[in-house]
Amino acid sequence: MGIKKKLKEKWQEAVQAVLPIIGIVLVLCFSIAPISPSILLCFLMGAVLILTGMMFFTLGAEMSMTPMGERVGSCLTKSRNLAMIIFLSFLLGFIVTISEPDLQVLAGQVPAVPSMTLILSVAVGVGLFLMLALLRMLFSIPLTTLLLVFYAAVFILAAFVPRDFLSIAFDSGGVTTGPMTVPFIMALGVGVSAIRSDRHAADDSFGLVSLCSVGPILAVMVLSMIFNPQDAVVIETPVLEVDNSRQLWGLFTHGLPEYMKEICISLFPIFTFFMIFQFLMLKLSKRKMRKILVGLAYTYVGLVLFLTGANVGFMPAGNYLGQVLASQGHPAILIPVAMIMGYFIVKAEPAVYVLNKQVEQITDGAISAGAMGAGLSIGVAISLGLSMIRVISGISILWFLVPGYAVALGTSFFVPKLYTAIAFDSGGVASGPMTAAFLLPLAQGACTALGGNMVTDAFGVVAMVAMTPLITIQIMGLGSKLLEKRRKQSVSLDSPVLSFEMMDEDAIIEL
Amino acid sequence: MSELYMMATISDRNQTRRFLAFYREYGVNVTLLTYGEGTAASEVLDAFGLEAAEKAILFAFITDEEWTHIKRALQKQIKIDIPGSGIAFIVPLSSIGGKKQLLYLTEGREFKKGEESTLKETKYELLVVIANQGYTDLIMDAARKAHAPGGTVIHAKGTGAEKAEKFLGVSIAVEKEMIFMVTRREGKNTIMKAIMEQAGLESEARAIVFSLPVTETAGMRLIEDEEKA
Repeated sequence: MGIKKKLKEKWQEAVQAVLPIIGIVLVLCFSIAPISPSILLCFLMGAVLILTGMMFFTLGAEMSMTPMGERVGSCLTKSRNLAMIIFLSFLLGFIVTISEPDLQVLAGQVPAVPSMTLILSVAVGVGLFLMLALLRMLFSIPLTTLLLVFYAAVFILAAFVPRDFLSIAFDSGGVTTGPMTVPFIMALGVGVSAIRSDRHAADDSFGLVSLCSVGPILAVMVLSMIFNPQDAVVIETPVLEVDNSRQLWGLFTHGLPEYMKEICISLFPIFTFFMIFQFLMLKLSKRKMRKILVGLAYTYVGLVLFLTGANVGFMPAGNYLGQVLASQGHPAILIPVAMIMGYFIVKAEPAVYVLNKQVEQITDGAISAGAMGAGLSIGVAISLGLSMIRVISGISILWFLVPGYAVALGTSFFVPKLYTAIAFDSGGVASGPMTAAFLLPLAQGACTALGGNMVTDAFGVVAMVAMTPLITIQIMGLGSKLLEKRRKQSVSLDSPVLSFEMMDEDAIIEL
Repeated sequence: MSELYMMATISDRNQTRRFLAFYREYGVNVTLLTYGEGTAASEVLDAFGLEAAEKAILFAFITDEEWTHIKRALQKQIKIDIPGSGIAFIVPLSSIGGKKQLLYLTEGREFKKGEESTLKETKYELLVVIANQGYTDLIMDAARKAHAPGGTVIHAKGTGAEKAEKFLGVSIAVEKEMIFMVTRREGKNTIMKAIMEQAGLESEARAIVFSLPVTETAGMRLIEDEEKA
């Protein structure tokens, strides 16, 4: 009974996450956006892989990444050794980032800077900021203060960064916090807070990811100023044509080993780190270790299938759809279409699942996974609408980012701390491989068709997706705060119970 | 005359909404909701992560008249007797601090203070084990050898007798696990003994085990039938 129930649950989750976006694309293809059957086939094939991958990933992340992060986190706090915490948190941020598959892609898009230099400096950026985030907890510095300081720094730097690089720099923040980093770093925060008994323990469970996504932005900006590259080059998505079913199969079997290798390299550093940690300090029971290892295997299978599906199947479809939609004479139609897509595609983002679950767990259901999902969906829908406006009109990204972050940081003063931390985390979480593999190509396709500047206009989608949830989730928090206030006022305790009238207010009543 | 009980409901986590809606419909105020994890029934399934292990525990305070009402509704509407739907049980309260608090818990519902009552013969008991974090498997292995049913674990923090240790800006507590098991009264002592022997205060787990009287249950009919057969 247990097997069926669990698998059914996971399968349903995956289907609920992926089905809507498949539906939308199909409806578009059959009505207003004629695309070639080979691309459609690729898309469908990719969708099947993504469904299966999603199922394995959610199962595996729950079993391995989450407990690993939590155990390491609580072990760090328990050690009460400041030097060790500083060293290990830096190291963790560093190796987790190096292994993030999305970062490799980003590095390829900035040919002016040697790939290795870029990857290393972004990794150092994340490491430093993870360290800072942990120290912030220990020294109880409010998260908002740090966010204010660093985002101010980011925007001041932005004034000196070559215009072509702005979008990519902001994108890198969202991209580096992908499906590998998020579950682990988030669980680390929960673990560090799990053994605290003070008031801020729950608030502090979140907020690590938010600081970690500032690191890459700063790193890429600084690099672009040092190297002063003339322009960033965009890798064209190859136009693919399949004549028969065997070629289609070949396309995927060609991609599969590539991602098998890539994810293997990704998981390896974290795995090694955890094994060393387990051996030296953690000493978990054999049964727990076995479960974590099986979970890692699931995560591996899940990520490989997911990324193959997303990159081989979804990327060309996104690009082509964008082109077709934009070249129909009414480019404005892109805006509502992209908004609907954005609304549903966040749900298919693997890290989002982990975040929603974690939030539900920590708040004991006060913020349900459903509410989080809705907040994120609305946020991403808005951001895609804005991105498409940008693609069509070519307005600089700063016109959106500066007011956006100003609003996000401003509201943080009125919103319960927990919501602020979750909101800033969710920004990095919402922008993962789905955004990079479907929404970004969509914008690129539209941009090509409209003849816009790809580097400044199409890029930045990720940054927008990473920004709007900050606002929507915080607004959700504001709403809950107001609701609570009203509820407090309405509770009245004046219904008298006769037999107790004689008693003292504070009497211990024997029942 | 009515008595006040704490009613606990344990169900799969995805059923939480259903239960909450049900209780709202019956005017029961769920005071506390917490998430826990079911203990593994099968080692193999657990290793492959294929057991539905995420549970939710709801606590509410009700009178015994309400309970008879709710029990019937649980059986009819939620079909709680179908295995896997969840269980509900009640534990009598013995005292409460403050008049306001009592009113808060009963929410102005009809409640008269009865005579001091002696405990009725109970059929089930709620075993509560408090142990150091990470030893659930050890405890459940011991308990299962003594024919214990499954349990539900929640994560907790120990406060200890001394003041919590401070490390820079944060105070550090000891991580604890609380395991709840509803067992038959007859089998209870062997289970408690087994846990004490395997994971008692001398061991690393430092488990403390005690039991509370459970006056009535819902959703355990199948287990009862099995035992009869």
